[in-house]
Amino acid sequence: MPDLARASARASALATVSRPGVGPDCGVRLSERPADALVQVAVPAAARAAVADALGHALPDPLTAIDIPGKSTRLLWVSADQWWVEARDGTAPADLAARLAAAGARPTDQTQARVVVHLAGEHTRDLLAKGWALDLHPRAFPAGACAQSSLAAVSVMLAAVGGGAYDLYIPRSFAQSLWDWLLDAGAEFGVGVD
Amino acid sequence: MLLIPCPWCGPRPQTDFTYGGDGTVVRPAEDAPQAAWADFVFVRDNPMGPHRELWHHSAGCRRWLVVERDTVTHDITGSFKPGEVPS
Ligand SMILES: [Zn+2]
Repeated sequence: MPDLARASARASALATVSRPGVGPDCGVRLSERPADALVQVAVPAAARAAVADALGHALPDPLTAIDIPGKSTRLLWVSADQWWVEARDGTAPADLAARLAAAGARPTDQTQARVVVHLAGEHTRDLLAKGWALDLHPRAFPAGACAQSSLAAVSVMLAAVGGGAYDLYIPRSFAQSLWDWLLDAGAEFGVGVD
Repeated sequence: MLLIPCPWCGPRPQTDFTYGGDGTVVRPAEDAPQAAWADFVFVRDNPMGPHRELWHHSAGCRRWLVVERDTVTHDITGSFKPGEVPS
């Protein structure tokens, strides 16, 4: 019997999109960064300490994300008492969800629900500003900030990851559409795909 | 475009929210007369001036909130978590 979970984990929602190369004048560079596991957790106040123990790091404050030092794991605040745990160390979603559930969190596997696109380059902020209402100036949205809002009318999570770069978490079924928008809106700055 | 302060996320554009109607109606008791239930379900005031209404931060934290908005000027004078609305 084929391993359907593994097969679908490898299938990119961006398999058929246009991927212009990176030229010397590219103001924005896009790349897909598939996560091994993305699990949303609701954490009752009473379970916060146990969940932090299981993760090896405290859950981040509202509107912030943190890359746990020494681990390929990012924690992102998504709502009151709710976070995302994103793993890039080969962890299987079911294993991560089980570990979090054992610590008292209520996990929901979102690995297949989001496409992660990394944006970098000197005009990244100019491109995002064409479809995003929140202030992205580093004074208002520094490295480590994250927010959910609409980008070109698609609800996304945006995380500032430092160096003027951002990670964009796009609902899977909107990924092609938003990718096309990024190429179109980025044309004036020069946009390429790593 | 309104700029709505979400109690969890901070100021966000109106397009990130879904309007949820009058935030002042009170659910009747289960055994209240049918007329009270009809009022609760169907009858709304249409006030000019300050009003409290429900909004859902649907493109953000997906929480419900109560917003105090002037229906004439669109000035927003407060927003609250449900259960923390001052009387
Ligand atoms: Zn919110």
